[in-house]
Amino acid sequence: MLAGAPAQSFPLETLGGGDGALADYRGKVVLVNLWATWCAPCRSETPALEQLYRSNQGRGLVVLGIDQGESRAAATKFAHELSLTYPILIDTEQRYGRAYAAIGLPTSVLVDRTGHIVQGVDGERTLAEFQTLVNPVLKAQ
Amino acid sequence: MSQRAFALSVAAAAMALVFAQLFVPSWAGFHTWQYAGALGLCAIGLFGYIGAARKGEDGETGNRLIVAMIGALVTIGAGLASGLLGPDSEIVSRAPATVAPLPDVNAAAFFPNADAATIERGDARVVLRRRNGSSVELAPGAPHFFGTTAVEQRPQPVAYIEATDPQGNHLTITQPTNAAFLSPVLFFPQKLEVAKRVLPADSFATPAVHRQIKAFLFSAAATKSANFHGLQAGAPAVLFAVDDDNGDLVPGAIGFVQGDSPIDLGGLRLRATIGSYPTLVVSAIPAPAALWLGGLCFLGGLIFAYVPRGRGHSLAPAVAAIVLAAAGIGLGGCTRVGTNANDSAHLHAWTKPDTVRIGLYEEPDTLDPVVGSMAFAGDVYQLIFDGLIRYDDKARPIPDLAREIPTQANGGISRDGKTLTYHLVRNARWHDGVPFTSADVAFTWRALMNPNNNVTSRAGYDKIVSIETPDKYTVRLHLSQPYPPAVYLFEDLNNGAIVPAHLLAGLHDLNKANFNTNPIGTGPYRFRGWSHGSEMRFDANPSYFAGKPKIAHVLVRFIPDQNTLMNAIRTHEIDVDYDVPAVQAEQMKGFDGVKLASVSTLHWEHLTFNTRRPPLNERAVRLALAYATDVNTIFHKIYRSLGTQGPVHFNPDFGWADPAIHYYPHDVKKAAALLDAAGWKLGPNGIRAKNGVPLAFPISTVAGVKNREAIEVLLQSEWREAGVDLSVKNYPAATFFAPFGAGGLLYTGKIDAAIFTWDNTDPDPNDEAYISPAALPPVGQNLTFFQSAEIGRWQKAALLTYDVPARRALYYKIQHVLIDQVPEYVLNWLPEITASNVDLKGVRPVPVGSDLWNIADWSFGPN
Repeated sequence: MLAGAPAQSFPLETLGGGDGALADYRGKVVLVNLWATWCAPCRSETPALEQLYRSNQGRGLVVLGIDQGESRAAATKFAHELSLTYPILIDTEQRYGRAYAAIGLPTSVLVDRTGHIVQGVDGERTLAEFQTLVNPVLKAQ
Repeated sequence: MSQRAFALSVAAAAMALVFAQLFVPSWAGFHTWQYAGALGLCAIGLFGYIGAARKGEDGETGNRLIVAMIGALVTIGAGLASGLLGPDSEIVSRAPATVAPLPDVNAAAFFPNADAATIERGDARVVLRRRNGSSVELAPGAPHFFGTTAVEQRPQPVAYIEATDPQGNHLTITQPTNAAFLSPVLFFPQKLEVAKRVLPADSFATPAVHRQIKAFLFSAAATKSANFHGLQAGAPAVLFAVDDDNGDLVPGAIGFVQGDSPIDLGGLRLRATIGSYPTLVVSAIPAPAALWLGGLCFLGGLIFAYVPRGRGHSLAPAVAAIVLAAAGIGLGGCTRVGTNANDSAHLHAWTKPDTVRIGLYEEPDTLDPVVGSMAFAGDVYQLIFDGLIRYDDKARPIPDLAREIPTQANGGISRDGKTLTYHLVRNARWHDGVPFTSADVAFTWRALMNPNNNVTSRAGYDKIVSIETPDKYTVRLHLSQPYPPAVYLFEDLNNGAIVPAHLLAGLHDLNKANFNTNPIGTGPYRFRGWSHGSEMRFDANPSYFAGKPKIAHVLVRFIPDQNTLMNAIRTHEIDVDYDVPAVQAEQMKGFDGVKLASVSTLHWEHLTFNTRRPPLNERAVRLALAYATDVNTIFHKIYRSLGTQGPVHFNPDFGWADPAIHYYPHDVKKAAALLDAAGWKLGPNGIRAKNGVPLAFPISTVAGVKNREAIEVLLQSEWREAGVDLSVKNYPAATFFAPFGAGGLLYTGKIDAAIFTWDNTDPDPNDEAYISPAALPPVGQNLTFFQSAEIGRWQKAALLTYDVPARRALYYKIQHVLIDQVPEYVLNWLPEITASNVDLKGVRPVPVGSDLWNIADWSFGPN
């Protein structure tokens, strides 16, 4: 992942069946989270992402979950089970996973307000770790 | 054949051989001894002819032909430089939508995204983006030339895989053994034998349904000769074999996919779109300047010899001299591939013998160590600057600009412990040539204490009352009180490395000084340049006081992502990656040409017992829990045998731990006996109780920290055997570690037992912060709430003497109390892991300080 490089964006289907892409959130700080329903660490870090999203939404943070290689039905079931409110895209062709050279799941990528990559992190993170990651970027307005 | 005709034929043949490199640059034959031998023989023949022609044996025409022969020799030289001495061709293959650096052409290769249709059409094209901002889209078929490098785009057979479950739901495809983990495009990098045929092979997984799939590519030609039932000859196919999670073939789950039709195998529906995707071949070519020069001289020489002219003869020596001089320039341009050839003969192709490439997680914000605050910047300071001391790989302070570490034995520390004297090296110079003196040390201290400077920590420096410089090479620190950790001041890191008085003394503050981006130090490497966001370059300091470094250049690359760092060490785009997480170290063990080194650190992961809360306020209970804990299973199974064991907060590797202190043996009977004696009787449900109160309490850590959660589960079962009912209650880090005032659970004493890590940043054993009776929250960090007045007395005494045996004796006493009373039980001293190129010698990671502490001694050498 090239820090400082423009974050690649691909149009995808949303959980609700509409269109969505990372580029839709230009102007906000976006924490892209690549996940899949079969991935246990993804499931376990999801509550932290939800809490992060809820507590930082007002500061201009968006958590963007991008399901890798699964159907909308599978992702929807997962999102309902965990009462997720942050936006989720369905990436059946795993394009984001390839573009960000994910070497495992979950992988998170922090994108600044101008659409540039700040940092990528692999593996499960806690709420505190996510908060530490996003705080400086949220402050840099 | 006449001598002249022979020489002309030889020259023409040699020119053709060398120019062929431009047409088929990736042909491996150019890098063989046979090719070099052929060119060498040609050169000998040409030298022979030149010798004869100079004696006049071939008349005037022969004399004029010398120019052409020299042209041919220049060309031969260029051919040898790129062929025999040049690097072998390199194949750069990447998954779609990824980027690969091509350092030889100062560019990054952007591999385009590709869906099934693109793969089928095979029309994806790689774009090279060069540092100067220009872009080139590579067309297949013909090489593109960039200086002395040719880049060719070639199609590679690949397959785009789609997998669904029986209900038609898409499934994630992963390639766990491949860097392109989430790519559905298979590159078939392996060759495996199937039915007596060696076939390109690959594998992938669909983790949602627990299947692992092997895939074998049958080309159109292979299907013609295969003659398998149902297989259409002349069309490519993929053979799938579907295994379960254990790697056993699902019965009957083997079959071909051809064309658009999917196949149902082992509970999966698989479709493969076979086509091609570009891969790059990067090859060395002869220096264009030398080819131009050689070619022009050759043609010019022929014209000069055969076109009649009146006074041409007298021009021959002048033309030859110009050609020879120019040939020197032309060949000089080839040194990129020619230098160090002998030394590097036994090194791997990825190694650049004159440059060590270091991957760094953070980019420094300033290169002035006085105002630097970033931990990783300390590594860069090690290159440019020196301290009075450094740390070695045993966490011992070693002399740097000081000639020895002051002690009371060597007279460096006064009897009252309040004056430290440093004798300085006499042959150190700043990179601008000015001698280094004691005035620089005094200035550095004044700069650290200057309130106008944004200094992160003045700890320890604030105990210096004044600095005296009786002569150019002596420094005396006068302290306000005896302070043993003072010997760790002025270390070669942030807030410690020595800066030049002659350049900075006149400034109001150093926060935004020009020096911060153009530093001058005394260290082993001179700063050469900084491409912000990308890299920093350094050259060896030939007048470094401790001897010129062995490697000529250092390139520090900023890669603020640990995945990318890991990929960079795997692909040998960097030579060193340090601070490797343990989880990545497991993966790195399988990397070709990468070695791992680890060292014990001063970070200890431990059990903390809250000695104020029942039942853990009873020593017998804590002791019984220690007996009931199998520390060896935790070390080997959870920590994968990485790190160091030691039961109290003094690392056994660093000289302050009492070797007589050991873990309690894993002895459940002993634990039971201790609890019985303390009145905790076993109940019918297997849980002990005293006065009707069950022996039950929770253990806590930061939620989501896998290692620690696994230990909790292990302890639940181990302690249950001793009749203890342990529950698990984990919290987010913010709640767990919050300060006292913010209601943090640890600091307010609401936790019974906990697992977490403390980090020490200098090797001094001073442990007042962790276990002093005066350091209970909210004042300090004694989260065991264990209060021992004698520990407090010993700690104070240990801080009033520099006498190491005396201090050691005091800290030994503290350790005996700790192991006897068990307010804590250390499970592991976590390791610092460094990955490096196997060709790189001398990398020795350190527990504290910087892994670059001995970079002047690093070298490249064969294994």
